[in-house]
Amino acid sequence: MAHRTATKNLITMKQPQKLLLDWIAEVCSSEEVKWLEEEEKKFRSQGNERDLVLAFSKVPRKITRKDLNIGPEETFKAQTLKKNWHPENLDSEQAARILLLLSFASEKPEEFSGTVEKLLETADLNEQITIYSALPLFPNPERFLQIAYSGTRSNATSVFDTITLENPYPYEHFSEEAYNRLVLKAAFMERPFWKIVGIPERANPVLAELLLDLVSERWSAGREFNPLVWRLITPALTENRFREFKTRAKQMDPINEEAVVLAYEQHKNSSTPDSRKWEELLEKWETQIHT
Amino acid sequence: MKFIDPHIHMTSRTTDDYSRMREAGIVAIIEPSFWLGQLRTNVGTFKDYYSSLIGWERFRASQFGIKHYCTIGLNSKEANNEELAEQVMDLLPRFALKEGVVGIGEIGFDEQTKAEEKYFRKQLDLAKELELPVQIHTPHRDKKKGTSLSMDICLEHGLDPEWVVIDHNNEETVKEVLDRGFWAGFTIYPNTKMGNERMVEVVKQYGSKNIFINSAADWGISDPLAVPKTAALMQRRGIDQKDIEKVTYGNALVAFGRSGQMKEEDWETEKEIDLNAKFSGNSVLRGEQIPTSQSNEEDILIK
Repeated sequence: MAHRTATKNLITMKQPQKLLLDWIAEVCSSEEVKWLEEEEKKFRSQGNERDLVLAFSKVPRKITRKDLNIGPEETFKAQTLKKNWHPENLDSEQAARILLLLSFASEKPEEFSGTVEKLLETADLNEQITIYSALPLFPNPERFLQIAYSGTRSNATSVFDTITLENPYPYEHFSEEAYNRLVLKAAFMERPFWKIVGIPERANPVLAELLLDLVSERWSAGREFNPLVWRLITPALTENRFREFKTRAKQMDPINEEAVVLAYEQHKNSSTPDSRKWEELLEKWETQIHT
Repeated sequence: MKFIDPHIHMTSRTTDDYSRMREAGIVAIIEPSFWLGQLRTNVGTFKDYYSSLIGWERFRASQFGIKHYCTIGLNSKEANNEELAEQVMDLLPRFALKEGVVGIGEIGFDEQTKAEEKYFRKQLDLAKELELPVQIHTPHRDKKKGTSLSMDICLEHGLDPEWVVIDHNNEETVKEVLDRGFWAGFTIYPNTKMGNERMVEVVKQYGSKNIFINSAADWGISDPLAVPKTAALMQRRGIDQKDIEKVTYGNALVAFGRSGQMKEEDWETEKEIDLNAKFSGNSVLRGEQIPTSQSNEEDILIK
């Protein structure tokens, strides 16, 4: 029932909005969907910022938070609209908010980045997460660079993760310097940095040096480090360093030792990185720390 | 047992407090907006403060498995700077309807000046318009009169007493508050407010209807474990378990739950927090002393 109600107005809607509404309609009641459609229509006819701010705040009171259970098929559809878009973890409330943002943006593309800045000034944690997760879908994406940088400075891991992991925005818009800073911070904060879009293709010698220093520092302090980092250190792995770090890795744990060896092989052969081997290492590492 | 501390200023507390609170069974807290120990001089610092209550502090609490809610308001002391107060009033609606905002608070009287009264009234109207509960700070000085006056004004503005929490009660104010149908909050705070032995006597005399306790822990000498410690003392002094549950958990949930922003499912269905969860690389939960009715009496008394 709900699904059918949602499809009526879709012809005039743009593609990502249509997809979002479909997902929402799968799990929400027809009343909830109706509210959303009416709000959406309002921006299309008037594009009033105040209405957007109000509707954006009201979402949790109007739309029940539910998992959207987005499977591989839906993710595929999403990624044909926006490459590397990962909507898998969206809930109905976030999807509704993103839909409102996009509808407003398509009416007022010029004002939109200012509006987003204003929303962020008073945004609660969930609102921040929602906005950062939608950055790659916004028109004129280059205007959101400063906003994206502030997101990466957040000390709330949930916010940091949203802009950093499985989000195509940094990959597409960050300079190499900024991208390197992001990967370094993610590794430093022990976030799953291999989920950053562009890893490992965007690996580079400068990043490799930064990460090598980080691992060295951690090992000197007797702290473990995720072995996947070695995949990114590959470009900096000279023979001398290989010998040094292989010995040090041995004292830390066998998985890191394997990682150092694997990285060096890749460095020597300049071979295409064998993703499967790294995945196996990660799996081993994760089993190890959970037992 | 699980507890709610419906009045605590975590902005001024440390991570050690959070982990001890969680270990002691505190599942949810409410952080009222207040002043920061010194007067603010511009509206931007208010904005950032409110924003930290719905952002950073909420995140910090979640790291310890505690659900963090807040109330938004202009406190009475700072209401006396009228020029600034006007600007803050414009700011409040931008925060009051955020998720997890369970009321307008803490508002009320400090020195019972005209300016305090003006902004108290304005905020009561805002609460009514937005259908939010109100959390009222009662003054330290001339308390009894200030408490009565606060309730008079609430009724004058057409607020339902069941939507209004009168906080920081004592033996002198409680009867009138309960008789008039308001919620009576008690702050267990060493030296200046209630001690918990006195609190036990209040519950023995008045029962548990419409009464709940909090720590109001802040930057002063205060105790973020005041709620669980007082529960332990109540058990020891023979207060019925059902009454303890109401004054340390259930009643606060009913009162602030009226906002629609605070539900038991929020913490009941929350994923078990990952004990390996890292906060800047450090595991955040460590074993701590949990106050129980078996604890040494010395350890749970707050005088």
